[in-house]
Amino acid sequence: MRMVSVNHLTKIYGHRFNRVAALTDLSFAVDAGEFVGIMGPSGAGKSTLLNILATIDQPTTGTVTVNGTAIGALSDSATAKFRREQLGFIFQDFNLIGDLTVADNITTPLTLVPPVPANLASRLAAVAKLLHLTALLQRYPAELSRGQQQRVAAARALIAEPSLILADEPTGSLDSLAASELLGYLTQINLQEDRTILMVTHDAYTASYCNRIIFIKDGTFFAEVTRNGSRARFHQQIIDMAATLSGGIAHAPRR
Amino acid sequence: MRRAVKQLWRHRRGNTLAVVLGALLIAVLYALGALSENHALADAAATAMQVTAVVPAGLTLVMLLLLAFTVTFQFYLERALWQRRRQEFGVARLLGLSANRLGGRLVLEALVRQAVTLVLGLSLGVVVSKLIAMAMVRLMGLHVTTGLLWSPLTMLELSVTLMVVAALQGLLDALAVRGRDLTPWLRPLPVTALPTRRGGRWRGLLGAGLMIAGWVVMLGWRPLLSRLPQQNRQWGGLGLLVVILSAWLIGTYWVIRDGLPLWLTALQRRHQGRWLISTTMTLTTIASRLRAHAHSLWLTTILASVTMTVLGSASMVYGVATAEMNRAVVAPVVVTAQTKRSVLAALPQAPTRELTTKLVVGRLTGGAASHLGLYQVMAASDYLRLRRGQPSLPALQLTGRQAMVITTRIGQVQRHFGERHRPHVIALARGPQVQVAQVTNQFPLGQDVFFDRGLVVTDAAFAQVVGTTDRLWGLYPAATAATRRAVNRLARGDAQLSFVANTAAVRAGRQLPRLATVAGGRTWSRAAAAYRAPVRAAGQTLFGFGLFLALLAGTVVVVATASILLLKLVIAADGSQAELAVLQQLGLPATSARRITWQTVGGVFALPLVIGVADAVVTLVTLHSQVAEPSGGLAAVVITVYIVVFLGFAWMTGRLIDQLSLVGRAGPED
Repeated sequence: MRMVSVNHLTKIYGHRFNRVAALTDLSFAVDAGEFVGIMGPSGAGKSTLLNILATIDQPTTGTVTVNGTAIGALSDSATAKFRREQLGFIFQDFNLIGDLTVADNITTPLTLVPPVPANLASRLAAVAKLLHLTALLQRYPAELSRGQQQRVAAARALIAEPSLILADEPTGSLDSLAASELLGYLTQINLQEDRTILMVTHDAYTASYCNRIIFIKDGTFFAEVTRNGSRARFHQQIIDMAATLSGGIAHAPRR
Repeated sequence: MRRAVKQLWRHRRGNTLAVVLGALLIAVLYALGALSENHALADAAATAMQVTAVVPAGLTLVMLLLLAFTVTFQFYLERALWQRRRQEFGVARLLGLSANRLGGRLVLEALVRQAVTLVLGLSLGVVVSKLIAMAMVRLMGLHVTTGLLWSPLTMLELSVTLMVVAALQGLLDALAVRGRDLTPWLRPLPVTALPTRRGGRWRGLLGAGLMIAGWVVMLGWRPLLSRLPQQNRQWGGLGLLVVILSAWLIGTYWVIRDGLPLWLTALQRRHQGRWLISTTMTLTTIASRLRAHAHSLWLTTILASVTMTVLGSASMVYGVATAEMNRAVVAPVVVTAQTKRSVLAALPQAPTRELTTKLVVGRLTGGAASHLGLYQVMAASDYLRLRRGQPSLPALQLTGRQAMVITTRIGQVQRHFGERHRPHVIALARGPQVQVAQVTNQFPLGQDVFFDRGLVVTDAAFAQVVGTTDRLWGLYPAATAATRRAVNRLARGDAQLSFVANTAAVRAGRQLPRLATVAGGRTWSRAAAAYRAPVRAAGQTLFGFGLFLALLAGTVVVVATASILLLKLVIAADGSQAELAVLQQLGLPATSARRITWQTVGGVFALPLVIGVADAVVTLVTLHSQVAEPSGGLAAVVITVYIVVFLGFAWMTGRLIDQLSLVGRAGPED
């Protein structure tokens, strides 16, 4: 089943005399249950792509479909509903609410509009158990380590059972141990919960936890690498492709 | 200079607020200064009050108080603006700008901003001076016309003083940007502060206890005081007041800093998983603001309480004093046997009404106290006869040994908060014991010609009273210019008094009270003649002036305190916008995000208002029980106006945060 479908996506910033194309005719697709990484050098358009997928930004031309919904055609209220029900977010800087406890932070997506689900407590307990946060539920974000904070963000992204989880450099603020731990959890979420994850990253090691990597350069599709063996081999493939990306030739996209 | 102007413009949001509020304060200061130098006004007031220099002295005193307040307010505002830019200063130092040069720029910025504020404030002051003068003249009942008030001396004084203040502010800012360690500068200030659970809960509870105890003691002020020995009451009362005030100050601080944030957090935790995030965020943000701005909120709450109490009390005192003045001299002229002959010579055609009283000492008991007083006892039939010409006197419903007490100290004959009900009785030294059935502060013919208290008893009881006969006459001359001149001439003459010796023998009832024209030892005294028109004019001018000063100072304080709160919340909102943006990204409807902003602003503004109103009501209720026939209407109006102005600032704050933030624009509508 097709989860994300990006078709001929173009995003141009600026006005008539100062136009910058962040994305140019970008097309790719993600199937349900995939763990896909988006890689590319700075200025490649990764953040623009993520913002469009997150409905924060609008494309100049092209369409994006998520779980059968064309997100560009949504009304304001439908956009808010789409974010609440279909998307989960994991940010580089966690973006937790400092005044709320861990429990409140995790349950935020379910308490944005009425009614509050009757099984909120059990869903909180389940997601907290999955990410080993049960003992931390009544603490405040400032009382947690950065790794723990990112796990809270992951739990928040998961609790509403969204069809797609968007992760923007989720390990960017973590040390290597915490990063490995989080990536392990994301893999677990992908495999056990069967969640589709789309992750933007610079780091080849982080990307090696994905099933497939889409490389973009100058706003267009450059290449993709699919994991067919061990993670170590996949890691090496990613490094090779990243090296090619620095001066290589574009490969045909998978449609 | 150009760089300073550029920097001020770059931070124009905060600077505009500082300039506008500073200009408003300076405008009022200028108007007060210019008014105090207006000779026509001072002369008219002196003529009406028959006392010179009261108006210029009062205006100057209030101006100095407001100047001190303005300086404090400007320092406070300056610190808030400085805090907002601390990261910018850190970066500038990091990039190589020396502390001296940065400090110099800050001094220059402070001076330029103050200069702009002064130009705006003084210009506005010239315009509003006429309005303020008109309000003062109206309240004082004077007949003077004033134009725009022009006072170069006041301008010079204010300019020099406030420029020196600005230079000092700039120097403080300059000193604050010194220091070698730049790391604290580069870190953002924590927007929120976690509630401390240990100790805080107890401090909060203790604070609430102290506040409530303060209110209860204030309500039971009189019975508490009456339990103290007579000679210790003055100092005891002062001590009690200091204790109440200290308890209230400490209690309010603990409630704001510890109690409320913890209770709000506990409330939110109790409903964890059951409330929407907008409610949860509102409560936690309010708790966070209370913690982070505990000092400002405490100060604002105190100022709100003091302002509302002062305004309410001043209004009540104005109402009471005006009514008291009208009660004091009811008939146009009232005379006693001592002055009858001379006054009748000046007003020979005036019709008269006579009241015969008997002077006798009596002891009032009941409630928690016992009071000895000199009573002018009159028969019910005489009282009712006079009441036909003085309809404001209350109707009489006496039977047997019942009596009506006439006194201005009604509090002595009333049941107070926390007191057991015991009927008040008066044991007359030479006469029957009567039970107090009615109390009034309306004296037949007027209060001035009574020594201490009046007592109306049935005709049968009056016949049993043995006392010194004391006759009073009310004169009602025709309202002509000649009469007015004659009354004014009499009023300007030497004030004559009557005395009754307050000796042990009189108090014990062994001797009848004896009227005398000269004082000797401890005495009761009264005016031997009273004139209505001159007293009324002087009273209205004096009380009107007092009310004018209180209203003006109150207005300035409410505007300044609400502005501090506005600025603090706007600055704090800058830091919390990111959190609302995250929530919107997660799918929070823009209307809910806006609701969080408005409810937070409302919650924070409500705190000083609620505590302030409670304090003012407690104080006014206490005052209410101490004065005769209090006028609560004007106090209620003034406090309502205060609340409306404060809520107006809350609305402005919400609008400002709404307009300046991304809330409502970044996110989609639900």
